[in-house]
Amino acid sequence: MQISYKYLIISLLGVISLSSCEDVISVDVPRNEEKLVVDGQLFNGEGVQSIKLMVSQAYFDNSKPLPANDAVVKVTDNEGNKYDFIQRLDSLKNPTVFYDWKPKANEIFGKLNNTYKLEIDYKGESYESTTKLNRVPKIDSIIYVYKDITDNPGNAEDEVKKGYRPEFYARDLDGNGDCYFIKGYWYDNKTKKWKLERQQIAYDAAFQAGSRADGLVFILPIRRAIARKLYLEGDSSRVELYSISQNHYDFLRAADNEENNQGLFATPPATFLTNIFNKNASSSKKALGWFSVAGLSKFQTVIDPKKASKDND
Amino acid sequence: MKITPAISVQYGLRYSNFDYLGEGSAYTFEPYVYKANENAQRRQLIDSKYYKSGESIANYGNWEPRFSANINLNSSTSLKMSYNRTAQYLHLMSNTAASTPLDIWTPTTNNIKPQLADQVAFGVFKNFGADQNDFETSIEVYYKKLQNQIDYIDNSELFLNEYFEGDLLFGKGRAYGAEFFVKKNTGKFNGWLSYTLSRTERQVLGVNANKWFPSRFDRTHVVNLVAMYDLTKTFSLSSNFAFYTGVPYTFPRGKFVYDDYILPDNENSSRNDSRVTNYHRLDLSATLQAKRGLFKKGTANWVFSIYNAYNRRNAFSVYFRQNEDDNTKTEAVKLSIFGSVLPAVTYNFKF
Repeated sequence: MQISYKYLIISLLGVISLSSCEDVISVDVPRNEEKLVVDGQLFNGEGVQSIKLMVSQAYFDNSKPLPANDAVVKVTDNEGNKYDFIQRLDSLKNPTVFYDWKPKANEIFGKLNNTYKLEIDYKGESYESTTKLNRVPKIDSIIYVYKDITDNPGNAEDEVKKGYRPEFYARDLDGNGDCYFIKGYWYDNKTKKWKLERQQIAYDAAFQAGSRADGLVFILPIRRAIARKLYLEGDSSRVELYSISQNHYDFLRAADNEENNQGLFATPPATFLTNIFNKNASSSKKALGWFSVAGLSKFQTVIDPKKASKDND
Repeated sequence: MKITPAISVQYGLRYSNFDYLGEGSAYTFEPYVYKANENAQRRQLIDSKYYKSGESIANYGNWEPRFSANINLNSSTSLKMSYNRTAQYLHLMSNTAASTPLDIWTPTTNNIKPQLADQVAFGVFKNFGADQNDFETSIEVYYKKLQNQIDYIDNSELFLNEYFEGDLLFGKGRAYGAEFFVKKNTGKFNGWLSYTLSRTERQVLGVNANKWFPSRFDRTHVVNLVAMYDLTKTFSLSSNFAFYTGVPYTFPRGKFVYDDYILPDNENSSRNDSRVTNYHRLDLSATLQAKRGLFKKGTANWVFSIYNAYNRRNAFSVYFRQNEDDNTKTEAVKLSIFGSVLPAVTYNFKF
């Protein structure tokens, strides 16, 4: 009996061409109706509270997003307090996307466990959203260690090579399912402004549900997710810890995933989560975005080499 | 089994049983409550129970009958018909727009039921020409009904998610179509042509406003043409042309800004309502019989071939992204694989 070795392949050139390629193409996409977009991230604390109102665009419309003008915006809480948000003007003629509520003297917005209701009247439609102000733990400290990354591969040319890496310490509150939105800022001594460095969501003390991290100190990668670069002496680091609802966490997580949703593993674009609803459920006009009132803890520190912690890496 | 000289039938029955055994945890999720005009959302975990090694978590049994009949009308014409039911206990999990090697498989669990498929098919086969062998032709139609098809909520997370079952949705599917086939067996010039017109759809509560939508494998038209020409006894040319309708795809309609994110908006929660561009490709090859086989034994031949001869960049997948230089801008990107002419030389031998 003959054994046949069929197709023993000697491929001379094939492997060279085993590559994929990407082309930017133009796609004719039917256009959506413009929708109201709400970016309402209120918090428990002093100062002005702002809600951004814009209108959505066609997917391939690459112009700047437009403000939703002339909306009537108010927030009420379960104690009967009413907060009116008025559209901010750049000049007398130019409205911005921001609607602001300004506190009277000594007035502080937000109270733990209160529920807040946002109501917006825009172009003949009424939208609403309800949320609760959840508890938030105190931030214990920001520590920093000296790092020299001169020899690290992949350093950017203009990157700070020797400096201090900040890290914040806080402990998740006991009880499953506390969610957080953490924002790390760096103070730009040139422009005299705080700049957002990084933001990160957390579920209990870890990245996501199922990690069994309830009641723990935030895990290391989250503690360090407040800076992108090394800070110099005299720089300031600030961290803001916002308590958010589980649904808001899901929304932000989906937004994070969307940024990386490309390439071979891209999933089809889906309807985005929102907690803004038209009061008239049968209306075809819908809104996008999210409304939240968060508990806020913040902490900031100036980098002082004498107070730097020992590097245990 | 031959009933008469012209009619033969085959039938069978299979019983399959699937037992999902511990050790492991079985999760229970809140039931899906259908809401009009609203897409399904993640179902939260309400209970989890630990099972010891060897303990049965869920058990499924299915009868799988099959039947086929062949009727010879005359020496060149026959009719074939068949029915079968199959049960599938392993499921492909994939929520990506394109098929990837990273798709994961999951067994049937207490939450995931076995997929069942019932298929009926009917075909007419006829040969033409001398010895009734010059041309083979056939027309076949089929209809397939599918149950317990797996689908996913919007923004589902299947990887590294212990509770991924809460992101799954279950629905039904159907596939039907007609296949036409002509083959020339004899002569210097031979080859075959096939054409398939088909539709594969599914309906899942909580997706696409509960309406039927094309599955991601749906290709309306599929054409394959293979032509071969024998120049001499030892040298032959052949070509292969393929055309497929582009697979369905979901395009975002709008976009909006939240915080620093630029997010897509897919109004109406539609799924697979657009298609990527059609796929077509031509391959050419020439085969030369070697004078003798390797080590002077058996036979051998050389094949010189060109894949994708007219260098078409077929879309494997289309996705959307923020422009790399300016992330406030969004663009569509076509991903091609083998998007170039691919020449190859092959040496085959038999001994």
